[in-house]
Amino acid sequence: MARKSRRGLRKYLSRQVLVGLGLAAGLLVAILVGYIATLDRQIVRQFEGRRWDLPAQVYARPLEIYAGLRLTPDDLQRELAALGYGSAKTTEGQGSFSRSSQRMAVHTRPFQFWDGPEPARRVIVNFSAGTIGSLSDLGGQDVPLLRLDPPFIGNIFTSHGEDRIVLGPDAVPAMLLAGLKVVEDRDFDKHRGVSLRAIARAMWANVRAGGIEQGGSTLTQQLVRSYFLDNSRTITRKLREALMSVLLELHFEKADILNAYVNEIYLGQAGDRAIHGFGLASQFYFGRPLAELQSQDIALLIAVVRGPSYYDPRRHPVRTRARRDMVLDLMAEFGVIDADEAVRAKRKDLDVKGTASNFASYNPTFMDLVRRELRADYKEDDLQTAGLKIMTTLDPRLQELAERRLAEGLTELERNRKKRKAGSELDGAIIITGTQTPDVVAIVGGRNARLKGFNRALDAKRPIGSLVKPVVYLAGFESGRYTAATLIEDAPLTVQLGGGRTWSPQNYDKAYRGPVPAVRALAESLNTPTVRLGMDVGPKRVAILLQGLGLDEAPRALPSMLLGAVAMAPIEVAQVYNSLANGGFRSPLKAVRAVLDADGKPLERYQLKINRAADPAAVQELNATLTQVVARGTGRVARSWLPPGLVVAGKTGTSDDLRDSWFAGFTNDHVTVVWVGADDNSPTGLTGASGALPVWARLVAGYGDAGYEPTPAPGLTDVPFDFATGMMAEAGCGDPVTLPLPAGTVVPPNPLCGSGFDSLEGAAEQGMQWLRGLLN
Amino acid sequence: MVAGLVELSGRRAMAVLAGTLLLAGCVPPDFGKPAPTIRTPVPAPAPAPAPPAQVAVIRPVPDIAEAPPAPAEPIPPPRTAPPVSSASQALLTQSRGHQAAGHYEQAAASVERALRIEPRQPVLWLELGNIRLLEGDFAQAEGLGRKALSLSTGDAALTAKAEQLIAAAKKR
Repeated sequence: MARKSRRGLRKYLSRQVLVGLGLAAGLLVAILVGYIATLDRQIVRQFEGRRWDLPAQVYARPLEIYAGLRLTPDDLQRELAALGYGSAKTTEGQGSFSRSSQRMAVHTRPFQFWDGPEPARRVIVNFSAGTIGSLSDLGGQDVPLLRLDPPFIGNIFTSHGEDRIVLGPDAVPAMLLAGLKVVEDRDFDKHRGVSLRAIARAMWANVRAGGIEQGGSTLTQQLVRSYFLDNSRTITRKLREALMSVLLELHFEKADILNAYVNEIYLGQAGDRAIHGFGLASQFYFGRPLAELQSQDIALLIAVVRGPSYYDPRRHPVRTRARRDMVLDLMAEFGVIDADEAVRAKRKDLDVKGTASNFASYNPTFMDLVRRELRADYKEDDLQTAGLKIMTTLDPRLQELAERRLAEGLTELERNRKKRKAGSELDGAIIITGTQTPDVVAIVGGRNARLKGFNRALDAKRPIGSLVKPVVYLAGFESGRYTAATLIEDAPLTVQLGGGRTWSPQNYDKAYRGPVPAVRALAESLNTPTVRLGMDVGPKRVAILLQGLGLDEAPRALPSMLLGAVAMAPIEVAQVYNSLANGGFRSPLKAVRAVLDADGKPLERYQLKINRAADPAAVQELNATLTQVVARGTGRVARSWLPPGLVVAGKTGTSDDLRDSWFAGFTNDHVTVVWVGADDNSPTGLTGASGALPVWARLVAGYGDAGYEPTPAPGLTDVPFDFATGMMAEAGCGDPVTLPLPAGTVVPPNPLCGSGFDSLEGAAEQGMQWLRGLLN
Repeated sequence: MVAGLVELSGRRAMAVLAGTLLLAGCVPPDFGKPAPTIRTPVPAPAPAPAPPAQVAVIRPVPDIAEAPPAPAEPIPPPRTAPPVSSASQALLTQSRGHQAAGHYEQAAASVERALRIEPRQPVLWLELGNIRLLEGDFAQAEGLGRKALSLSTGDAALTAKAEQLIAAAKKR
């Protein structure tokens, strides 16, 4: 009984073990199958979704070329070079040009703009005397207008910084695909995801060379590795990668896998931005689209695949070139190119353009403005992932010039200041806009323009000092009670502030000049006549006008506001002065023109908007008056930097204790605002004329702009009068300045000028009579 | 006799100005520097005489629609806006095509392109204003009409067109 039962038990137990083992094996298989199924789901989802995060691509303004445009052959060549156009000696087809002294032949690239496609075209540009004389096609037919493709200026990318330009299969040169296979995965067309032959060959090669000469991974494996961003060299990782590669090959065509590889693979680093895919890598290394590359360039990109930091053509040109040449040899050996081509290509230098860092963060200040404008219509996530194309107003030439002038200018100011042992480090901001348009064409947020961080141009709100005065005088002109020739007394005054408090503003030089014409009071930035005028028309009126010209809200209408005790950011000042240059019309400044989706389909367009903010005739009178600031007033020193005869309108501004130094002004073509100060708001020892103005004048001198030209306005007539006294003036007598004044303006006679006076006594008597007539 | 003197009143102002004038009569004038102020007593003003003949009086430029100009005053020659460049003309043609198809935003985009080339060409501002009018954006149509008007001074035909645009926009 017991035995039997013991035997039964044993039998029972062994059966249990067997069942247990069976179950365990089944479980293992189930787990393995489950694991594979999981991997399968993962890799299929990754591949099919194929939704790369595509950062928005931001473009500068396209250059429009037409007869009559002020543009030299050098200017055009610079623009084309920045676009990556090659000289026709070495480059053929789209994106090439050839030049003789006054003539250029250009083969443009096509581009999809918001308002329609611009086809690739071949044109002849003839220059004459610094302008474009004519523009024609190869048949000699006149071309009225040509729009180049816009310069790419950067991306709005994610925090992990992965960036790429996705290319469809048609956009990838066959030579690149063939070359990749020859160098990285010769069995690609045959294997099923992993290649034992490749692994063996790699191991053998590595043993022989003792280094990382050849990898055993197929292109498929490299793609899988890249998907999951895991470079740990563990066995399980390798196994998982191999399994996934096999699964991937089970599901998808070779061609699809290869195209994914071309777009996915990591090829370089620009700051915190990772360069993925051959499309972007081509821009990163050569500044040209992939389709325009030649065999030596394609070989270079294939060379970089193996190790973008080890084979960095900028930092390690020698070994990178050696590897490129090896790639070219392999390509010749396997018939991708012929032997002569390999020999030719190997002779070429590494034609790498620019630096990694300026590709990384082209002007973060401008990008910041673009982002803020888009925020109203787009989610941050869409900007980082949806591949939008953003068309902006940036003028790369002026942007670069402004960055350079600010950095140089501040360095020089500090050098001069050191002699006087003053203050903390200077910084600054610059904004350049059009005059009749609201386009922001350049913006610099600090002396190190490439550095992200505090954007002074948009965020540094500082007292504007005398920059407000033009608005005070404009309020006076609009009231009909003042003209640029009106005499206002420059003498101490006391303003009642209410509650028994008083305010006694003084002139900067503590000197007083008696009655002066408004133009002189404004040009010499005299405080007491400005406050007299401002109190007469009322601070409220000035505050409302200031708001209308450029602010969201009216500043508090305090008497001190009349001398600029109002804090504004440089971009707000730029809006106010843009409205003045625009003839009294406010057009909200903008940096974004339009947005297209990833396929070039038009989305938003940002319209030019305009509304009348001040009386156009009064603004014309004011602008003409503002030309006297640099002609005769506080801005005289600028004459030594500006081209002779260039008329500019503008105003200096200085805040209390010399903390902020401003100059805002315009030519016919551009409004420019410069602020110089210290981030800790400490005194700089600089006035508007000694700090911001030298930067402004040297910058504006480089534009090649036409000088400020008044627009005729109804009811204004040119009247000459003496700048110092406001009396009648003529050639050879006094310091005549001619300004457009409201018709009917009476200027007092000058007893020393003109004929009709028999004696000095007679002249004095005439003057007295005139005065009595006026006052009675 | 309006805008000559402000902020000065009564005898003190008289004294200041007269002093300046008298002094200017005695010493060589230095117009580069501020005129010094010396207060000299002056006799009380006599009853107002007629303004002296030497005073230059500039009257408003007469509006063509109003009274004929006084013969003594030179009238500035009528000004016509500069012709539209061939580049802008090409864009205007393009814009008209879009307008005919009812694609107003595209039409506006073409005109804005032209405006970046010729920002002071009133014809272009008028065109953009008329597009906005067609679209029913009356506020912008008026703003653009006013901008066109401000650039059309002296050109009667363009001035009339701009005024028409403004009137049409305001009616809505």
